[in-house]
Amino acid sequence: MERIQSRPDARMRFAAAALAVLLVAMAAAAGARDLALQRTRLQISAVYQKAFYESCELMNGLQLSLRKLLVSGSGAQEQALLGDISQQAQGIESNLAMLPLGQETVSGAVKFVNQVSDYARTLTNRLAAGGAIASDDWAQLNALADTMSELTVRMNDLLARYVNGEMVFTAEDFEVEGMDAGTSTQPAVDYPALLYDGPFSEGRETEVFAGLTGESVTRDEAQERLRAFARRAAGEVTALRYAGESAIPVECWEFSLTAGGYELSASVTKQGGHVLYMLPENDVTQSLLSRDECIDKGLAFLAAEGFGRMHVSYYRSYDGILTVNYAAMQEDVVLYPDLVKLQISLRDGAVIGIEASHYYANHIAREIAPPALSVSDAVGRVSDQLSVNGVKLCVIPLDVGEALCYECSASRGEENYLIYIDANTGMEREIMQVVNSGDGIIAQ
Amino acid sequence: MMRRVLAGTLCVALFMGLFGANAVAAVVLSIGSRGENVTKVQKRLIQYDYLDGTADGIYGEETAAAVRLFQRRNGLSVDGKVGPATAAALGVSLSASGSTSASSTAAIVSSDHRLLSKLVYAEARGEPYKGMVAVAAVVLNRVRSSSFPNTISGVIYQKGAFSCVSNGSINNTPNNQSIRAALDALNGWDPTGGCLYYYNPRLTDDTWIRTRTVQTVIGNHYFAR
Repeated sequence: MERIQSRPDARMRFAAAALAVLLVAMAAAAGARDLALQRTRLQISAVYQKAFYESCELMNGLQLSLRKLLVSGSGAQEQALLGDISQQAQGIESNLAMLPLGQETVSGAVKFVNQVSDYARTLTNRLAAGGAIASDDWAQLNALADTMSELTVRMNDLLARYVNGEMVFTAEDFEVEGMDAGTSTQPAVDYPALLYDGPFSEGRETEVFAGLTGESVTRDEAQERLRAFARRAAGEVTALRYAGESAIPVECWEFSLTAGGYELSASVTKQGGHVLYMLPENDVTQSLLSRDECIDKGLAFLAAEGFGRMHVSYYRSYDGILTVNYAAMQEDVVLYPDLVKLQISLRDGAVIGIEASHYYANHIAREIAPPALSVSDAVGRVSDQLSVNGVKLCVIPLDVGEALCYECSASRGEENYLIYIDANTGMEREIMQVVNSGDGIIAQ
Repeated sequence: MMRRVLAGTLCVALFMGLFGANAVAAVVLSIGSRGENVTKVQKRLIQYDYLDGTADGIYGEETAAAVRLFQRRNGLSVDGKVGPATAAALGVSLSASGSTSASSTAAIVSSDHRLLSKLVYAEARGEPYKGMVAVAAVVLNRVRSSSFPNTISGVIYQKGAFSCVSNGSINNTPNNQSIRAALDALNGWDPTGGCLYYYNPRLTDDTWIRTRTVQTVIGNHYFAR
């Protein structure tokens, strides 16, 4: 009796255990599959996002290159810009093609950028063969630039919506009025260097610090120099703490401190005890002073610190912090390689950030001979598309070395540009578009 | 007994099957967050008497303190942030969109600035501000270097370059400090002086990266050329 009863019980138990094992195994398999699925999903999402962001980045660049081309005054500059345009367009094409928009949706935009690329190559070849860009071409380029701007705005808007979690992949966002279809085979290999914050401040390796002067200082001396500097910049120093050594690439002592109520971190060079950079820890949310007041406070501060008279080039505000670019001057020549950037609190005018590595890397006395070109020669070399409003002598950095240039501020309708004409050779060295973005004036 | 085992197993299976795949990057609110989600949380905290005043949609120290108190009293892990668990305990559902603040959106100057802010938030949240700027600067140094892709998106989404891309945390909404740090790097601040790599020595088992010369240490990160 007992055996008969226990048998079904044992069988039941065995069945239950088997079922449990099976279910656990199934669950584990499902879990593993889901994890793998999630990982795959993230990877795919990353691929889409990269394509999306890169399209936007390159579209911004292409649009700017087209604008610059329209106001370029020299064949050499035109060729360089056309090369950029071709490559940027290629990059956009390959990224757009990756987006999950379907062949039909994306084909208009892809076709358009392909045409831009091919057209740019055609013009490059013509220029290389000694030809010129004809008036028909300028009209065409003008139209391309406008379409590109529109496409860029739409793409950026689409990206913003996508980032906010909206389903954005619909057909009408990419419809573009195109010309005839073109084909392209050459891959984009080399993108132009990106300049973010105005002319000539980035993109150069600062390995040699030619402008760094003075004897080497001890950690204690560096600390006392920083204390005095921060007091003049932001106010009374209530805390100052050593935070280590660094080689960035010049050797420095690192500190964190509180001055004028602002929490700051700073780096002081071992040679000369100069503040290489300083950054505020917290956001400033109040704006009580005007931008002009703060820019002037910055000028006065730099003069008192021994940087001499400086030229204000660009500025941009973020909440209650105004970031301003100041370039050193030698007599009346602006030295763009010798930049100091300040962050000034719009709450009380305190200097709470400084970036002086470009200044200490480059600031030496230049030998500036009288330029071979006259001001009117230089203005004559600026594109007919532009009207020149002012000219000033400056030194700009090149990939290797520097060049003395005339900086011509010029406008075309509502758009403002800076054109740099080599003061000795007459070569058009650089074109910058000046943009008032509402929160500041920047050049790109 | 059998029924309980079965029920439990089924639960696990259901959970894995139904929710496992859906557990994509959740919204987390912390100091600096703004917007509708913050307002929802604050209203609930006020209602439960953890917070005084009105819901202003800005996650400041006071809100964080109230959240910490709420977490302590409700047996949650106390970090002062509102993630899925805390939100559930508060009875608030956080929406993925609309969590960006008006001021953050206005302050983002370009698509590459937006992406860089997201990277900074994912990689360097909780680091000193200088360390956040440093992480953004490393990305920009890579863009300029001939050994890496030539765009910000190219560098960030390069295969295996940043763990936040493979684990999805790059999809979170950046806070104001991350947005400002990205902008400072774009404006030329580089506390690393040209570094191309960084790592957390406690978290990495990559031996190659340890052979690079460390130029500076900021917070938990070692920066190398």
